[in-house]
Amino acid sequence: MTENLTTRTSPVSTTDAPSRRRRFLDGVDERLGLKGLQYGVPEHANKLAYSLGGLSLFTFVLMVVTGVVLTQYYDSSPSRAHQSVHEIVTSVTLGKFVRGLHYWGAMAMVVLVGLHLLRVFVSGSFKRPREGNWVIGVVLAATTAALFFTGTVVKWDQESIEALDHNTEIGKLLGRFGFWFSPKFSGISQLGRLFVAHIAILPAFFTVVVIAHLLLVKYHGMAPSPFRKSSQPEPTEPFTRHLARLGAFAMVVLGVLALLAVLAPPRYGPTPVAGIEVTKPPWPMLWIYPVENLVGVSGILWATVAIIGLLFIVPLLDRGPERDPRRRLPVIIGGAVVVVAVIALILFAAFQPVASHVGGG
Amino acid sequence: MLFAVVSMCVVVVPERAAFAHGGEEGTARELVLTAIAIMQTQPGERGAIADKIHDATDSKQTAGVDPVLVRAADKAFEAGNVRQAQLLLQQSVQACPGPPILNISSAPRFPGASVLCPAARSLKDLKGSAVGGAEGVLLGIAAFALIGLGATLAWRIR
Repeated sequence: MTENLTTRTSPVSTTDAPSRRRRFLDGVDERLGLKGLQYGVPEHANKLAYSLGGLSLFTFVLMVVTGVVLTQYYDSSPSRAHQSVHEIVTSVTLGKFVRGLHYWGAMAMVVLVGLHLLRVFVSGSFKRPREGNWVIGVVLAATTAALFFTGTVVKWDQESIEALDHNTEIGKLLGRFGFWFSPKFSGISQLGRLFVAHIAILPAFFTVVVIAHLLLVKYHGMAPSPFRKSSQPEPTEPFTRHLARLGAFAMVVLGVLALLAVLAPPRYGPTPVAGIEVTKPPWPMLWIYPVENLVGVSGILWATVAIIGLLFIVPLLDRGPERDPRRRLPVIIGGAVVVVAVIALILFAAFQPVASHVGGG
Repeated sequence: MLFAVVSMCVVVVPERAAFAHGGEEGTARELVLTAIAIMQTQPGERGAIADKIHDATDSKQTAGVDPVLVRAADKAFEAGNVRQAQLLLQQSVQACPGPPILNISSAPRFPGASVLCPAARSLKDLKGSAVGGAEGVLLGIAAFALIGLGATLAWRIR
C-alpha cells in the first residue's frame, strides 16, 4: 500500500512542482513582460567602463533612499536647520551612518557621472544617431551638479551660507531671470525653497530625463566598441546578464560607500554666520574658486555656462563617423586639456588662501 | 576656559545687565561676552545689549576680539537682526554659538577651510552618537562583506 502510494505520488509531485513554478513565472512574465529584458546587448557592454552610467543611476537611487530617511528629521527653517542636522547625527538611530552614506554617495555620483561622460566622449558613443542622447546626458550631468549644490546649502553650516550668498549674487547677475534666486521672491526662506528643489524638483526632473535617456539607449542600442576591428557582428548577451553584473558592481560601490560612512563621516560644520566668507566650496565646485577670485562672482556664472555649453556642442565639434580615439586625436587632446585644466584649478584652489569676494561682481 | 568665562557671564551678568549702561569699562572681549550673556538671558534688555556692543566697538583694548565682526554685529543689532548679531559676537571671540560646533578632521577637505570654532577630535565626542562602538564595527564588517560578495559576483558573471 505504501509502495503503491509512493509510486503513484512521486512522479506526480516531481512533474507538478516545476510546472507550477513555470506557470507562475510565465504568469508573472505575461503580466509584467520581464522576458522583454532578455534582449541582446553586445559583449563589451559588460565591461566596467560601460557600466558607469548604470552605477551613476544606482548612486542616484541611493541618494533618494538615504535622502528620504534624512528628510524625516531635517528641519528646513533657517533657525532650526543646523540644529536638526546635529540631532540627525547624535539622536537618530543610524542617523550618522545614513548621513555619511548620503554624503559619500553624492561624491560618488559626481565622480561616476563625470567618468561616464568621459567614457562616452572618448569612445565616440555620442556620434550619430546618438547626439540627442548626449545632450540629454549633459542635462543630467548639469542636474547632478545642481543637486550637489543644493545639498551643500541644505546642510546649513558656514560653507552653506556662503554658497547661498554666491547663489543670490548670481541671481542678481541674471537680472529678471534670476528672480527665483532672490531672497525676496516669496515669503518662504531661500533655504526652504532650495530644500524643496533638492528633495523634489530636481530629483523629479532627473527621474523624467533619465527615463528618456534610458529609452533612447534602448532605442538606439548600445554604441559599438570603438576598438572592434572585425567586420563580423559582435556576439551578444542577454541584457539581464548585464543587469546582474551591474548589480555586482553596485554591491562593491555600496560597500565602499558604507565603509567611508563609518570610517570618515562627513563633518558637522560651524553654525552659519551671514556676511562673512571664510570657507572654500567642496572639491567638485572648487575649480570655480580661482576663476571667481580672478573675474569676480560673474566668473562662476560664465565658467559654468562655458563648460556646459562646450559639452552641449561636442557632437557638432566631432561630427565624423570615426569612433576610435586614436584617430580623433585633435578632439581627444582638446577634451584632455579641459579635464587637466579643471583638475589644475581644483589643486590650485586647494592651496589658495581663502578670499572674501561675495558681491565682487 | 572660554566656555567657563561665557558661563560665568551668563550666571553673573544678568543681575547687573540692566544697570550697566554707558561707559567703556573693561576690554572689548569682556564687553562682547557680557553682551552675549545678556542676549542669552535677558533678550528684552535691548538698551543694555546695544550699550555693550557700542562700548565694545569703541574700546581700545581689542585683544582676543575681531573688531570687524563686532562692528558687523553692531550694525546687525541696529537693523533688528538679533540672532545674526549674537552669532557675529560669538564668532568675534571665537566662541561656538548655539550647539557644540565640530570640525571633523577625517572629512576629505582640502586645506584652507577656516575653523571658526574650537574643533572636537571626532564625532565620537558627541554624546549619544547613534553609530559608535559595536554598531560602527558591525557596519564596517557588513561593508567589507558587501565589497567581497560584489567583487566575487562581478568576477563570476563575465
